[in-house]
Amino acid sequence: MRKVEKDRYIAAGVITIFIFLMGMLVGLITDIQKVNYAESIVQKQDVEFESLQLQYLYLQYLPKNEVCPVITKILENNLKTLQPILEKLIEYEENNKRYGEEYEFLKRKYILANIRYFILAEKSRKECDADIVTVLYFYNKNCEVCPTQGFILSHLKSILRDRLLVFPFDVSYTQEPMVGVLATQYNVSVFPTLIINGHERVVGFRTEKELLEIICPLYRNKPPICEGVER
Amino acid sequence: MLWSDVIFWTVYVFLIYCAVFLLLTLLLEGDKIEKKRWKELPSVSVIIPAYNEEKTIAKTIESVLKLDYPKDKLKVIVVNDGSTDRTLEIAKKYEEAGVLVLSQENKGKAAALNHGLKHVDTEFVACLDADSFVRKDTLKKMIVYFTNDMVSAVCPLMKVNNPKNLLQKLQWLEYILYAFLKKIYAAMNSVHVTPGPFSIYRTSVVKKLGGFDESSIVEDQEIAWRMQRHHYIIRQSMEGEVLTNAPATLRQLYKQRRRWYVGSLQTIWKYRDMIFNRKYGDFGMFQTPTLLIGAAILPFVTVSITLRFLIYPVLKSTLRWYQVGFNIFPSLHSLWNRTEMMSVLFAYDYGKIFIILLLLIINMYWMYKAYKETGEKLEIYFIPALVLFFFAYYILLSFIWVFSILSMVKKKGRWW
Repeated sequence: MRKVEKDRYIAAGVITIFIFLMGMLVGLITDIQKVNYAESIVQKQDVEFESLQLQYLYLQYLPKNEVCPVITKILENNLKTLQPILEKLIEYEENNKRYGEEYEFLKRKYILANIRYFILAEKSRKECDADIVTVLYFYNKNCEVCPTQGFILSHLKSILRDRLLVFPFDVSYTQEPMVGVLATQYNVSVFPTLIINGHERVVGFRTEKELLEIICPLYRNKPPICEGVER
Repeated sequence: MLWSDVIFWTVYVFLIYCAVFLLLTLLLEGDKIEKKRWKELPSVSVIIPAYNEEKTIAKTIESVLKLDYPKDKLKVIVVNDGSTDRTLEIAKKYEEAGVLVLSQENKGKAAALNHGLKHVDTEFVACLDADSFVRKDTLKKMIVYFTNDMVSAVCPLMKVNNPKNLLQKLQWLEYILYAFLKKIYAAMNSVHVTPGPFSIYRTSVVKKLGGFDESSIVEDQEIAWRMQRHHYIIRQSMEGEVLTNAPATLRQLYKQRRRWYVGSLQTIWKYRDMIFNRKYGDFGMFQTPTLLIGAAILPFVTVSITLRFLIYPVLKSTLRWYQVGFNIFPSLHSLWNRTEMMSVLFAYDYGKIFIILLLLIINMYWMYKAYKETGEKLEIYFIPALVLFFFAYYILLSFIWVFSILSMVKKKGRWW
């Protein structure tokens, strides 16, 4: 009969629980930091968007040639901060991360901001003759090729930068009715569906080359990547 | 909570608990192992079972004959287990030097050892695989651990002989880390294997227990469990070195490990009543449960985590990059964008990073101690080696575990 020293088992357990709680704590603190960071961006975006709207209203009284360069400039700057963050938020969801109500609240705000930017971008394209292409990208959680389609779009976006504006919308996200409104308006039933420049419907998966063949003819001043691309 | 999170945290808690428990044991019991000064050295027999070992047998026998030990106290027995090559012929050459050469039909290593055991009349008996070599001082350094009659076996410090390729170097590292682990096991009287290369047994105990189990494919694990069952003590030497040849290819490694791993599952199953049995002290309460979890659960968890979080994402992103012709420069360029850099912070789960870092630090400390204890010089490249070991070799072994278990289930009853 051998003896078991209980104390050692208990001591090891206590130390383990301590380490475990430390790990949880680090995770928790960084999660809070992340939400705080996202929140601060949202607040900034809110103010910036308000300012932008006001500028837009105000500038409507000015002649067209004075308004447009300013609007395009502001739009570009804001899209640079908004879009990557929206992508990250969506990426979270892909990894099944949940941050509770706060996260949902943030996501809705982002989606709304995204829609407002889309309207603004369309206006600047039509009324200011901006040489840009807008893409409404409708996807769905259960769609298997969508992440790849999204990846290709981000890739093109990183090449074309501010000349290609991509607005991703997760249609399975029903908390925000506006997404449903958009999907209904563009009659989206298959995923992925792309709406190019607010009217051209592209249904189903497209490779990089196929997308370029659709997008490139829309530019008046062709970007370098469009050289040799024919529809 | 998601299933992957639950598994992650459970495995994490289990690993941390084991590490903390072992380090505590080392701290409290590590230096309590006694040594004995023999006034007169006891007599020892060395049994070398050999099956088709013509390449190494001569070197093995010579290493034993060169042992720094009184010649009249040392007896060498080679048991040829029905070799079909020149093993017997080579062994016979050493008869002049006093080596007893026995021969039998091919019946397996355990049977060969038992055959040799019949000719042993010395107080102690060592077994030496015919692909391993002892150093001059090995026996003298090991014999001091037989402090009282309950000490029934002493294990050597096993090292990989002349590691050449990466696989052998990783095994070399594995053996070093394992030796240190076994020192702690010995401190809590829970050694579960007396390895084939030069473990020394008390002859009377082995004979009393009925010799080696010829039905087991890992007789060196089985005998250790049997000794634990009868409350004998097994010690681990950190000074007496034995060098063994390690498999040089993945296929050989898989073959070797399949035998070990399937064998250890068989052994655990055979002595399953010892699991969580207070009667067997730390061996029952700590060693057997962790061995079972390590053998039957951890490999599957490691493999599924690897597939899900390493191989699947790599495949996925490879397919995605294929779609854009592997043109990474635009993305790299936008990475420099400040906002993008900030949002990259979003992508990580710092709780998990903390844990992985912690486990790495524990492993690093482990490695540092292992190098010191086994008398190896610590080089700076041990940090990349550790990362490689932790992320590649451990995963490889887990895959071998899983494949071994699957192949065992597939051809149930045929272990070889």
